Amino acid sequence: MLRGLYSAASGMFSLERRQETLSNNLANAQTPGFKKDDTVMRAFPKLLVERIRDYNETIPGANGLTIPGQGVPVGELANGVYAQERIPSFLQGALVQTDQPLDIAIDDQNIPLQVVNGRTVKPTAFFAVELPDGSVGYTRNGKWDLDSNGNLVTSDGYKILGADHKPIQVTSGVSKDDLYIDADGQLIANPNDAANARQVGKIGMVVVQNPYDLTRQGGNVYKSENPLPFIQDAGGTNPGVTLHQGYVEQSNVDPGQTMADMMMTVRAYEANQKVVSVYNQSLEQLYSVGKING
Amino acid sequence: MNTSLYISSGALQAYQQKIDTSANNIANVNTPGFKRKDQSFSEILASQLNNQGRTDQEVGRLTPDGLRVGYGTRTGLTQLVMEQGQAISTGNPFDLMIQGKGFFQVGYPSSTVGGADEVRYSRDGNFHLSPNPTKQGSYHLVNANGGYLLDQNGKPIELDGQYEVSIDGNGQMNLRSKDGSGTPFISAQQVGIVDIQNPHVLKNMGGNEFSIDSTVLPTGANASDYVKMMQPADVQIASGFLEGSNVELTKEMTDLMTTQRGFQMNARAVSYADQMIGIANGILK
Repeated sequence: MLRGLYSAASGMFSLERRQETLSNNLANAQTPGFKKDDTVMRAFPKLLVERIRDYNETIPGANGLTIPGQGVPVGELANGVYAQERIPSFLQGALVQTDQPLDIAIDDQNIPLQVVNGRTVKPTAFFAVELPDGSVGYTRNGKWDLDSNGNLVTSDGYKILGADHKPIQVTSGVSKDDLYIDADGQLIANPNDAANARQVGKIGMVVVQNPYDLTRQGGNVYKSENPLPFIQDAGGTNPGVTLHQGYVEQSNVDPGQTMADMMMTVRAYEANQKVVSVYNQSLEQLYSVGKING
Repeated sequence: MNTSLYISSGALQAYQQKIDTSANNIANVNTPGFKRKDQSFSEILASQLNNQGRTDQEVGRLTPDGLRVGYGTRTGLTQLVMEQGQAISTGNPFDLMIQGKGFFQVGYPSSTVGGADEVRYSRDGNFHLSPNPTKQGSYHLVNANGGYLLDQNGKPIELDGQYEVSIDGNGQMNLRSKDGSGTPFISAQQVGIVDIQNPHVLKNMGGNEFSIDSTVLPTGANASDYVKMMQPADVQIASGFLEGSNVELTKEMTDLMTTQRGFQMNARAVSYADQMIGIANGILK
């Protein structure tokens, strides 16, 4: 029973998974609104190890019963490890000024903490976007532009939903340099021209009470199993969310930390490989013992 | 299968593109009317793996069941930044600079007989007089690529050699006879400045010029729907000035530096992935 061999091999496999996460974080270190993932490793469900009882063995205090061949529990053994989950970190990224009219950054640091299922979590604010299949996704990517139809879209091409749950369309006659977006998400065209100033729409925002319930979809988008209320809807909340026009929220990846983690992952991988190699050497010895005329 | 190798090498490609964009901006730091491009990254796909079938044993999880893995980054938006460039005084009366919104219309005779003339849009106001080949003593205003500056009706601007020309702030041309006789008057032609409603439809044609990209227009829309002739009252032109490029060298250099470091770090990640494959190979020596 080479249990340790499989433990070491599973260690290598899960470290590969961790390296994948770190590579993805590093690749997106400059993606606006990107939230890094942390890998959580977990031991495989434990095994109960038993030994076989000798025929003349008696157990003190247990009526002196001896049944040869019966199992006696020895203890628990965890057999290997696997990457159980990836927990996104919804820490606020740094806001960087770009002066682009359609760069919007969310600042949600002032949302009060909240307790969900006995854990304290930080509710997180998101923009709501329409995904190609018509469902609603949530994104922090505030790098936007107008498409040729005048729809407000993210850099991944998803339409931004307004407070009315419909895509925001900027009608002709308004170019993106004429748009002003206030801290609440009101889009106002020609703000300095009293005669032509008008409201174009309002950005639909969602505050997710437990952001760990969201699932990563790629393209900077998260999804929720249950539809979430916009902050303007009944039941929606808007504590401490501020929008900043002309700013972009940077990714919250720390490249230095990521590089160090990657280095450690490679070394841990190497150590696990050593264990596998040692098992291999033991097996080799075992093999040479059995050799005749060797 | 070593996914991190593909994640990082894909990221290298995106970072390389950003370096290319910065390089192009820096190369055009002295090109009149040049508008810089700003490139951003975007996350790509993610997929869900269910690596533990017995979800009832997944106690203590924070996130929904399964493992969602991301596959790196790609180029997201490459936006044209329409910020105003700085003014460069040249003293040449036919050097024009647009202050605020708008584009010059530049016309090229069609290469196909009987075809419609091609119109392009530019912020480069570097025009000079060129003799009209079909009419003695008459001149056109042409740019460095040989395109004609167009008037409010889309016709090439034609100037008579006997008049002195001065272009005023809203694109109107004041003419006065060179020998001092007669009263000064305003030409019927004026510099036609158009407003492009949505710069997203512009396609870079090189030579500092743009044209409307008909492939991105919604069905049923014409290029003309996106081009609006500006009224003289809304136009602001400065004659004797050129609009410099809006590239800021300090910003580009810092961008280039951070991008290059990002490139290096992803290259290192490729090397780590390669080392891991090597280690796995080394199990059996």
